[in-house]
Amino acid sequence: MITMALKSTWQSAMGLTAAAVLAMCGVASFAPALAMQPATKADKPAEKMDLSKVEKRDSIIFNNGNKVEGVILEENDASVKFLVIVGTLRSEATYSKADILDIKRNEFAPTAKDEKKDEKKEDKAAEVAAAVSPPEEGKLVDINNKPIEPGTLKVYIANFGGEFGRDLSRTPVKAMMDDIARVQPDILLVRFDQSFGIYGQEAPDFAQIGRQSYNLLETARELDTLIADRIASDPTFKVKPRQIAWIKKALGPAAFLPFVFPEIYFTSEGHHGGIGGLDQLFKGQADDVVAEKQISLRLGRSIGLAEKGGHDGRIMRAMSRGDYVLSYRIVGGQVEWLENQLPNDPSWFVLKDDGPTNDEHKDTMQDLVRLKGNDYLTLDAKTAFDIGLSKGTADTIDELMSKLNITRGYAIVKTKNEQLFKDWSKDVDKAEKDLERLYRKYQAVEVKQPGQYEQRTAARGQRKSILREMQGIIKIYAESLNPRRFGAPDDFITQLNLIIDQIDTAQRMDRRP
Amino acid sequence: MFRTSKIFKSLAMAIVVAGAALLSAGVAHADKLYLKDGRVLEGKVVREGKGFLYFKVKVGTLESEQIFVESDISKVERDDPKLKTDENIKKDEDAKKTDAKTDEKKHAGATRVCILNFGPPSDWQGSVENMVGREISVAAFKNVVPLLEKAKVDVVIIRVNSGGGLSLEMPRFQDLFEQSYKPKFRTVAWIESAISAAAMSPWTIEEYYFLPQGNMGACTEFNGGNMKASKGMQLEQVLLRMEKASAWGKKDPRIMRSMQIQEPLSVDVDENGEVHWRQDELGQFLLNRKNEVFTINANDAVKFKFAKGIAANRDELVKKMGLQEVEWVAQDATDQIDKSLRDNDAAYKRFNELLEKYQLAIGVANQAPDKERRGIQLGIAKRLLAEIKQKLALNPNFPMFIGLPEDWFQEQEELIKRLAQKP
Repeated sequence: MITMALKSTWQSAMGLTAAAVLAMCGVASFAPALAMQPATKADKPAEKMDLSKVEKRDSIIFNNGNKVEGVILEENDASVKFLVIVGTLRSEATYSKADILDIKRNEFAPTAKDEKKDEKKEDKAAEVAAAVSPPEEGKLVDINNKPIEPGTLKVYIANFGGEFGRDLSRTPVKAMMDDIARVQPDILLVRFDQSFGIYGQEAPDFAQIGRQSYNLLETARELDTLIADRIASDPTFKVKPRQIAWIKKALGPAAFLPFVFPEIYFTSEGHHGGIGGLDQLFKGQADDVVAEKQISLRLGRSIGLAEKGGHDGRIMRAMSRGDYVLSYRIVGGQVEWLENQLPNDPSWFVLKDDGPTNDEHKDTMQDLVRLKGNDYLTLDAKTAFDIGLSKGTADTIDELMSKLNITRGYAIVKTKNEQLFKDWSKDVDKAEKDLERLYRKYQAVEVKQPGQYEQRTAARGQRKSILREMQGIIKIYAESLNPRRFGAPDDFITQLNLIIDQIDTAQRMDRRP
Repeated sequence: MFRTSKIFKSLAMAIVVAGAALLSAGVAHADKLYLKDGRVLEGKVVREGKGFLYFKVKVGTLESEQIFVESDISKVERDDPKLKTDENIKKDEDAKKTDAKTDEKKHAGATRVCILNFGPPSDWQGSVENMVGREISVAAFKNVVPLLEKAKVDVVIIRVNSGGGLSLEMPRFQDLFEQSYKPKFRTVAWIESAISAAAMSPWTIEEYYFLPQGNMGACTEFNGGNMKASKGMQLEQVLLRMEKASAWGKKDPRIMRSMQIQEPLSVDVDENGEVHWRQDELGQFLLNRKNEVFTINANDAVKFKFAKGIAANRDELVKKMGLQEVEWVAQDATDQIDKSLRDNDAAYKRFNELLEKYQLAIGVANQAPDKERRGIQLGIAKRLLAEIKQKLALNPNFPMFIGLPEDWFQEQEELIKRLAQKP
């Protein structure tokens, strides 16, 4: 909703339509051209948004698992009018209560304790920032700043947190890989603890957002080439590290990437999945055969990632597709699978039933919120281990190393990894804020008095300069900008190019009196 | 193997006349055919199927080939125990062809291998789109054939990564691979992701390898506007086309049929390890349920002998292909294909902008208050028109993507002339 509003505002307010420019060209004096008309108060979004300073207070969880955060503005028996708050953006929406599973009131109300916590967090962040200065070239140190002796087994820990596709994206992963190449670790341990959500919208852990998650499948495929393929093919990796995924939370679009790791471990609270509902793709938008084609190609690609890591593609299918049924049992220490039918024999354990297509087996709300649903497969540590996806469960590095049978001494290398991702996230947040700020600045450019040719020319130059600055930001951060707020980056850049062209045209047509 | 039918009984009456090709001597006559009428013929079983058998007999210096049906035959004694079924004959022919290609090696030394990207690999990080007929153009693959020949290439690897594209480009690619690539080079497909038209286009290639994450299928033809699958005559035509492509590519046609429409697919593997595809759900291994459209992944592709192996990189691939010593050659052909991907992508992404800018330039010129300012705008319009024309020339499919009528350029040039003459 926010995106649509913002996009349409940008496209209409920023983009001078060709018709508008042409209309102005019909005016004999060409002055001032529409591109140079001073912004009116009504055009300024900051002044339109009276609720801009309101902070998050409540949240709504929908039946489909989606969640929005913001402030309840009005409520009656049938609906809730809600101010949705995502980052710095606010948008009003009205939701039918029939679609709502739960409303959490005052969830975000600040307390004195929280405020103190926030202060501490800031202190901690400063501490970490200071602590992770890169080790000198060729001198690796461990996390306690002790030099790592040659021959010591080196462990590089990468923390994949935040939102997949935004905080975890191409640029920081590339930088991380350069750092890993510098360190030449024996073990690359990637900790997955990502927020369950997409485009700034978080979902509760029991939700299934397959349709949306699959939008980021291509991002997972691309990131995979930066990690696994680079390690395999880049000769600078003289040591090819063991690649291990350690899952605390890999839900939604974050669920794809761990599959490419040959070794997967879970924490005891670990969860992996949340990509169910792929079969709802194109429902009502395409005929049955085309919808099946679309499902098939996506599953083909996601199963491909699982197979690449050496894992069974059936697990991915059970996570994704509603009408698929999968059970397992252990026979002679080996996993035996039963597909497409519910077992009659109690020796089988049903991983995923046909709930999405059979109301009799549909998960109850009670099961869902307790993470016991099986309409789609979301793995916990025990099940992941039982079916052989996970090699073990560990909550600490020592435990994990012990599971890896590493008995001799090892060193966890001090790296810039954590800071690198933090910086990227911070930069992306800033980039989005800058784009909004520049938009407002663009809107506010006025032709100075007395409004003659020179003043009009200067104002046009100022506007073009702002637009170019925006393009520069988009080019750098395109991979992570929220498409729901800013649209597709390529389209956005094209749109800005067209506006610049319109300004240039107006300038060419303008003359001194 | 032998089952009598009326057709074969009547066929048995007709003796296949020996042609010039049959006059050659030197055929090893070691098979014996015992007929129910008491005759015993010495010669060679050359072909056999359900209920019939072709037998080549030699009388003096003259050879003739005759067809016999099951009901005429009491016994066959064979020199070579291998049945002469069509399948076995094809295998023998293929083996001979491969041997011949090896013998005909265009040079001494290492095997000369070239790799061509049918779509940008994933490690291009999404910088280039991958649509067949738009970024991936048959013209580009046609244009590099002379470069491949010049470099004396032995093996061409077509590395596929694409989510599909235009149906109209698919038969062009099939024809190109069948007629220009396969006769000249050992042509191999290496699949990262081959979806829809990207699976159908290289379907005529016979030798397949997959990347570990490889996937191939989802070939339903549909209208991207209303998201409806082809039906009726249109569907039958594309099904038939792919039956032909399956024959060229020596693949069981049931596989592609399940990739195109919602048809079940399963597999039986017999005691000799031979794979038998079935268009139902009753085989030992169910690969596609009746309501689904099929996409095959790397493990199944190899398990069921659709692909010859899985290779994560070039070195692994050539090893799997059985090549001992390899020289990577024809880099100019590789680069030219990559450049065409990039150029097509950049051009297509620019069209909307160029067209909008052009419309603006023309519109403003039309309403310009004096000749000088109109002239400036018309100059810009001309430049933009030339750029549009140049980019369109990169790919004959572009006008269709953009929806420009054939005479659009002529109309615009006339319009520019008219505006220039305006007082």
